[in-house]
Amino acid sequence: MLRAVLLFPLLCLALLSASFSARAAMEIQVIGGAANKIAVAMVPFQAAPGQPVPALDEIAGNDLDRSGQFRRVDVSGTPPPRAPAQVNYSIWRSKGADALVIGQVTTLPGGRYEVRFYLLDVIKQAQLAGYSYTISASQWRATAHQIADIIYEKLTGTRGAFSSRIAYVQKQGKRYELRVADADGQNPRTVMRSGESVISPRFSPDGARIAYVSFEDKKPVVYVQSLQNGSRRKVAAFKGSNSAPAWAPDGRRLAVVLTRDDASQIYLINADGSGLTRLTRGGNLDTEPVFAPDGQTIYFTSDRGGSAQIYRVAASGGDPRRVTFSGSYNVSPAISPDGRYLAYISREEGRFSVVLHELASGQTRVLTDTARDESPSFAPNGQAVLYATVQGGRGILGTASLDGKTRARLSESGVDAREPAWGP
Amino acid sequence: MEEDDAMRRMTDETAASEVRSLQQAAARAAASKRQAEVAGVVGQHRDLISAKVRGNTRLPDNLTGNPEVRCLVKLLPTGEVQSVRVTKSSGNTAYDEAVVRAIEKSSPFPLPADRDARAAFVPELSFVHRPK
Repeated sequence: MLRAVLLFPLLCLALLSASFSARAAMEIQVIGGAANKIAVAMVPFQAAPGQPVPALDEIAGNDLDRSGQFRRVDVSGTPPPRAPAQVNYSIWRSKGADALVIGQVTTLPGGRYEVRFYLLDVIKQAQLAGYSYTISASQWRATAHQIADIIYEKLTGTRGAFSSRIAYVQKQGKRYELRVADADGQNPRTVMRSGESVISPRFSPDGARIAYVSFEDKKPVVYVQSLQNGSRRKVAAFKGSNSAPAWAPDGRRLAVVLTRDDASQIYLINADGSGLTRLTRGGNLDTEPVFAPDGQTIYFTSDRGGSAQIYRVAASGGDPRRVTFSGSYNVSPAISPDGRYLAYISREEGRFSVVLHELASGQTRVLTDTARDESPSFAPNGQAVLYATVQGGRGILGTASLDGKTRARLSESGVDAREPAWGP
Repeated sequence: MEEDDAMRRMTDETAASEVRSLQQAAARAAASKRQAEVAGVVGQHRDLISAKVRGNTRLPDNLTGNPEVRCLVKLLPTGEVQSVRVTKSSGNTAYDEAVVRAIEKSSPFPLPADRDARAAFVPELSFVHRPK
């Protein structure tokens, strides 16, 4: 009896301590994620006297803002660190930053600059990148875009496209200029001038050449021009109209639209103008071809089903298949570099907007809120779409992120820009 | 006289036992009220921690399906995260990393000021994270 009395509290104690030590950690459930932007603190780089404007961190910061992937953390009220050893991580952490960018510019003899910049992970308290460049003033903007590319790639895992170029046609009175600019619309240079219309510029896959349609011969003719030395040749100048060039991914062939034999039909032709073969047949209007990244499929616009819709056909020929079914007017397809998405112009209730279409699921999303959008093309990293639209009676260029939540205007005011294409 | 004394003692004892049982009942009520309070505070902070981690989670865009990540998180009594260990991977490295990062970014966790309630969170917590 006594034994039992003694044993009982002991047992209780044992059970209690067992239940305590073996207690499973409390479980916390988290469903989903609410953060869609990476919080970046960009500290103004320490400037050198007489350095070009705007500052490198400003140009790179604008690049990051345009992408829609980042949220900028307020950097005021903290002494700016210049080197990783000066960083007090807890300050940046309390400001909610994921990443911190710091840098400095120093003047070198001969009008050159030394640029140092560091990208730091505030959560892991580690350096993600550290670079130093020796540059001339003419490399200023290119260096800023490189810095933005490094930040973008380190933080998102996708390569940046800020160092890429865009082409567009600028119209001033009766003068047309084909221009090539940085991806932020800055630093434009004219590669071709004409008193007649120029349309449909398309960079070759290596970015060394540009195809376009010029009306300088009083009818549309497809040219290919070198961006290195400006030399050019007529690639398609057949009877009737020659239009809508599209490069094959290998850069050796183009798809073009000719009225040589019939109404507008799609043909393939070598980049030197040889080896013409016809791809589509029928009395309908087939136009705006674009190669899929694997080179095996061509997407194009056709009215063969009674309304303008997007179709695809094997590059080796065969029967076209319809791709778009919603809406009565879908034109101007562009395909993302990974082949996952189409972007095109869709007319809905009298508005022409850029639509993103996931090919695997058929799901679509309107990316723009303007009414006269044209000529969508993907960034080389597939993360944004460049397009033309009209505001205040003038053509302007804009970019939209793939979620449609971030849109930016590229072209300066006072010019009429149209027919954009994003290149490598 | 002796009878009177006996009577008084009995009455006193009855009264005392009544008081005792009343006291016991009050103590039991207080204990269960306290328990409910602690449970309430624990639940509230569970939600706060979950919301903080969710707010810091940036889901990768290559997610397919609804994979689950489990992590074991070691905490200091201040709520600071000491370590995060993935105990069950989602199979998607980017998602696993995003969850670990979100937990690290959420340090310090909002823990209850009450010692008993705080004890439920320290020294370790298990996390289950699902995209949807």
